[in-house]
Amino acid sequence: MRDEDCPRMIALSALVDDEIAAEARLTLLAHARHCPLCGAALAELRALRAEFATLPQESPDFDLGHVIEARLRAQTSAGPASRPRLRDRLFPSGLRGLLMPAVGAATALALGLQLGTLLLEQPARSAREPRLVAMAVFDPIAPGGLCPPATCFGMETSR
Amino acid sequence: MDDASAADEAGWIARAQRGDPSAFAALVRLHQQRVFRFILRLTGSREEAMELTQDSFLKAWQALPGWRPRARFATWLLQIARNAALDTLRRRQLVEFAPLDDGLPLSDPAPGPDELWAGRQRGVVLDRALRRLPFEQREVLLLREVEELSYTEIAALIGVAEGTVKSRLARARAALLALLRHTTGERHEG
Ligand SMILES: [Zn+2]
Repeated sequence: MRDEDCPRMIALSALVDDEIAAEARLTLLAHARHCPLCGAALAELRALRAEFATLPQESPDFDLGHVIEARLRAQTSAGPASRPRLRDRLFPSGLRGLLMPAVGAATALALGLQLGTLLLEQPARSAREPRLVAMAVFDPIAPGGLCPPATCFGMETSR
Repeated sequence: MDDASAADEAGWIARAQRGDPSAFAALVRLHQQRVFRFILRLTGSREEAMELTQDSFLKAWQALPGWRPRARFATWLLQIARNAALDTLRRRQLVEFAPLDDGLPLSDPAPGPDELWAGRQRGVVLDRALRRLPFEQREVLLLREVEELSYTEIAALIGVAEGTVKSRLARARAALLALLRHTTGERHEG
């Protein structure tokens, strides 16, 4: 078993997210109080969560509300029934080139248009994003065993 | 968002759905920072993030007449932004084979150990570590830790089962902790 698939890690991660059944939560917390491995892992996961508050808080270079409103007004002045043809007028040729060069872009647009119906409905179980291999510079397997020793019980029943 | 802002937002959405650009501009102002940061952290490029943020809002404008409040408006915007970012990264991958990672060490060599983890620098280290994760791990971490979405919302947004969100988050955290531990190790050795 790979370290990152360790059932303990999955259960502890879900515990930190408060996405675990109440009973399983109590059992896991009680265990973590006595098991040094799980206790340390839980502390580390909580510290990591707190760390996200330190991420750089960057802002857009300019007010997009103004820019987008101006573009929409330029479009609206062309006529009231023109929203369906918005794309043709909205994007300057350069931007349209960027947006529409390939099937991928068209797919993204189509996905965007379907969003309202997709959200909160049952996700497709077969859907799987292709992994962007070249971005995985590091092998994401953690050094050092995350898996518990035999004395540390499995947490498969936590959810 | 407090109750007053939520009421404002609902009003702006209704007006924007009827084609009011100034109402839509108000929605853009309300959400631009959140959408921009999300895209920036996904793509790693300010310039690209500016462009994709604009594109995302324009796509939202086009899709808005058919939008129904089954999910929070902000979550819907994040889904549009995520798809736009993913599409760009896929294309970049094909065209340049360039990793998102900027090649910089996670920690800058100059400051001493005490300053390194202080304030801003900690965030920079985390930011760089995130960039070394695969997209699928980076996005679930951002959606959970920064956007504070539930597993159900994340599953719907990226189109996978909830169990996948759960295990992917655990993998992502293990990988991120390994990177950060590695950095801490470098620091102690240096
Ligand atoms: Zn244990």
